[in-house]
Amino acid sequence: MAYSSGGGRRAVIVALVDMFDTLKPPGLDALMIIVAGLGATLVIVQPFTSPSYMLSYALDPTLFAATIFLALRGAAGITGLVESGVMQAFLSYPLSRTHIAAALYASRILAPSIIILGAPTATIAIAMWPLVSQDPAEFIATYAAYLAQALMYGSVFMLIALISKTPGTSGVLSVAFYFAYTVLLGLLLYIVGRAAGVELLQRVAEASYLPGIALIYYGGGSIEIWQPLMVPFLLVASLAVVYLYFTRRFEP
Amino acid sequence: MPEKILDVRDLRKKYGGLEVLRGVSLSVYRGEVVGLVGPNGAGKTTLLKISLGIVRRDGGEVLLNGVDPWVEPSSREKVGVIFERPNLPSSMSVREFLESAARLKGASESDVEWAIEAVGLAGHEWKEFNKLSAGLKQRAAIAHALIGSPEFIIADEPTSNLDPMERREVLTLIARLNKELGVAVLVSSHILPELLRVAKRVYALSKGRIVAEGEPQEIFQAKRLARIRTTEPERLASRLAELGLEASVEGLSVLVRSISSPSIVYEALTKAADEGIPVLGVDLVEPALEEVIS
Repeated sequence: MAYSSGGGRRAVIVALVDMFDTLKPPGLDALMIIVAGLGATLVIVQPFTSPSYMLSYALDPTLFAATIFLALRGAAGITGLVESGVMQAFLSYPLSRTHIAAALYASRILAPSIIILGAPTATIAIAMWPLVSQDPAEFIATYAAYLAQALMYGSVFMLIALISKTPGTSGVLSVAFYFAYTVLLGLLLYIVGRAAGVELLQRVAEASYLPGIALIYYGGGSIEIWQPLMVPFLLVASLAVVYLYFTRRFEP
Repeated sequence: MPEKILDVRDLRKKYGGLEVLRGVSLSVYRGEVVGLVGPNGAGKTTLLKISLGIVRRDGGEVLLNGVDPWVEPSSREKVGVIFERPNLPSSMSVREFLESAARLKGASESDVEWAIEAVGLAGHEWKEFNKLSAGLKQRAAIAHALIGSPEFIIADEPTSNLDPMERREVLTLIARLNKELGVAVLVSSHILPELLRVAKRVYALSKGRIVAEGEPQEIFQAKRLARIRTTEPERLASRLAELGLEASVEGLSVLVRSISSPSIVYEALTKAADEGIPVLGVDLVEPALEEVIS
């Protein structure tokens, strides 16, 4: 039987091959079981009345776990590909760098984010269906907000991995970026804005965490029209830089 | 004249401030085996990576299958690659990975079977890559390069990390692929005699420049060497030098370089014998890498 191949199809094959490494147990499987079990337990013991607030209760700690996974296993795994020489093998295929970048992003960032955040979301949807069914769109939008936040972190981690090319440096710099981002944008900006009475700074601080914006919105609070767009903008911008770096500068 | 499958002209590459390739030109025609020899750090791997479009170039032109490999990925169609360090994923069995590579290259399952048999990997194909010995890893990497019926194979030091027997087998396989299937091969090594065994043409690369090129016979003739064993090496070396030969003492031998014709050596030896300098034996030796790049 002869296999057929095209650019997109070839990229899917590379993504699947690479996903074997990303999802190789133990790692994601154990994390998935823990976050799914704890997430469901957390929301069942609490009296929730809002799907978004209920989901955030489980996904806030899950997002942290996902971020650490993306930094240390997902993106840093790309440096492992470079060190082992597997990246050279991928780049020697008749496949454009755009396709390879897409395949690596799918296997290293997108799939783990969907799975890690999706595991507790799915168990909560099943366990708390009566509440979720009141507003499934709100539930899904909240999940999407967490996913966008994770993907934004993951895109920056991938860029760090491509530039640093060593797992240790990549992991440390990625975690450092995460804490710098959350502390600088999420906390300090808010405190400074509040102390100085500059509302814009407070709004930027709020917008740096998209799930928080979702909670304010679904909780009936007021948000600026640009606030839900800030994290997606950062995601698109970081993805664009990853794409440009990988296709024009990256050398294994 | 067959068509060029790889054409590299005036290639330049810098890493930081260090110029690793300085105007390298090289070509490989369809159906021929070309050797690229040079010491470690000469720029061989960089040259091969740029030829594949894996690494950017700073100057010059590269055409692989008639197009620029940095810009056009289709240039790598029907091109198999063997890297210096065997490099397949360890998260799945070699067989599963080769099947994935076959899907990617539009090859058939029977291609996978053939490649496994051709490289002698049968019986080990279901093991994970990192559980194979160095020799088997290299075989797996070669099998990977053979998937998709390649018309051109770029092999970067395919015999490194192998024992002499395995080295011979790999070279024999390369020669067989060329002879039976007409596959063009560009193979690099820092061991010249290995390349002379399989290559029709050889390029010698040193410090980022091509310092010698031609057919193995031409290189042999240009760098012909003789080692003369004697109990009086200093006396013999000075006598040979007087006769216009480039001679140096190496222990109880005298090494004579760049011999234009063996008869000159024989004539010199006769004169040495007449003068009572004992000659215990003469070996005409293959030039080592350092002789070629000197």
